[in-house]
Amino acid sequence: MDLLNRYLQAVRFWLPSEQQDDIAAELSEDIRSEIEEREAGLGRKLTDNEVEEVLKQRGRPLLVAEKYLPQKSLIGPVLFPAYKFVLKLALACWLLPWVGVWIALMVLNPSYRAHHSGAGIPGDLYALWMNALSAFAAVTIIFAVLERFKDRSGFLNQWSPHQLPPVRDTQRISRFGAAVELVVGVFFGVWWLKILWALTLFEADGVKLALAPVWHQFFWAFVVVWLINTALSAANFVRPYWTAFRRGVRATSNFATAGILTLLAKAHATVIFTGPTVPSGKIAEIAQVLDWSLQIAFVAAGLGLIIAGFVEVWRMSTTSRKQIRLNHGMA
Amino acid sequence: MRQGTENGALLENLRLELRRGCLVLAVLAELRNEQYGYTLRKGLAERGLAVDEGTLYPLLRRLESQGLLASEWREEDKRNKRFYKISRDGKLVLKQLLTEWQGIGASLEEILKESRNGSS
Repeated sequence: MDLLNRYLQAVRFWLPSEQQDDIAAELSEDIRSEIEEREAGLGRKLTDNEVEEVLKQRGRPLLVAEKYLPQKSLIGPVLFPAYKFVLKLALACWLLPWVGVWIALMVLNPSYRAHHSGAGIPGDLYALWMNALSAFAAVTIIFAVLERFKDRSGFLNQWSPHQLPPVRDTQRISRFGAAVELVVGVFFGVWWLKILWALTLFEADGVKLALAPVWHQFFWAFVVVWLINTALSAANFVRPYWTAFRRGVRATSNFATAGILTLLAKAHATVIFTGPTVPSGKIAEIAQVLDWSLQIAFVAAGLGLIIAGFVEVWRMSTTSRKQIRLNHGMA
Repeated sequence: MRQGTENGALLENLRLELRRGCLVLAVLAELRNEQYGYTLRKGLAERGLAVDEGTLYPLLRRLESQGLLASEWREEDKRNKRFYKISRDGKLVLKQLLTEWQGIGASLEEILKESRNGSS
């Protein structure tokens, strides 16, 4: 019976202490009854191998004990879909952009590449791992807390169908949104093109913040993108409904702007800061900060525009399919 | 072949689900006469409702904690055994569950009769 005792001891290990004796005694009795019955049938004692077979049929001690334990989970089945969704969101909105910016900086920025390649890569991978781990831990902790309090909060019971968001029509454009986009686009565009032409951002009391001359080469490219965007905003305001063509125009504009930003990053387009009373060391320090900030901004904005462009391309294909279905339906 | 295996596993899962619902009823009914775990399990198996010990014993504990069963440790054949018997509350619940069970059976029979007529 050594095997049986070892088995019972292993099962006991996983049981709550206040129930260990009771459950183990009952389990022991059940197994002994089975062994006795087999022995009576065979007319002899069971061999060690036969006892082993009986115990194996019962299953691993952990599995046997688990059936006696109350069901417990860190995040239960009710909240699990939301938990999975937020984890995916953290991956898409935090980790992937982080990786994207890192790759783009490595490709486009020689000084960043010099600092981070070779021995710098393990440090960056460690930072990525820590980012991923902290995002995962934060989301898990929040959902574990929600899981504990979900019943007490009454959140799952107190609801009304009227509180649910209205059915989304992804093809419809908000007229107010289109109007805001048009007005802001026109004013911002005129302001930006004026600066791009004169290259001066700010000037007062001898302190001057200006764009480097290389920016001037991109003036006409910005004019074209601005005209396209303004025309699109105007069309969206007049007829507030997406068509495949307009989605295509938005995607093209996004890709074109991302291209301009990439070229600006490659051309090392920066901002020049001058001031007669500011020491030259301080100016160099400010220039360094501005340079880095701009490089990161170009890369982040470029990536964002590329992603937005692909989203528009995908929506363009779904818009086309919907239009085809609509036409078939009307025929 | 794989499709067949998947269907087999699916059928087994559905079968277990179906039987799980009846198990409480069967256990309460069997325990109108006092029995210990092993004989209860054998009795159920002999009547065509085989249940593994990993399902039966946790269920017995749950039903006891709900006040539907009573148990006591007693010596029999020189061994300590835990005997279970349905409690007074358990008898009331069993009666209600049996009514429910008969209602389900009648409804199901009605549905199956309709679908038989519909398919013929």
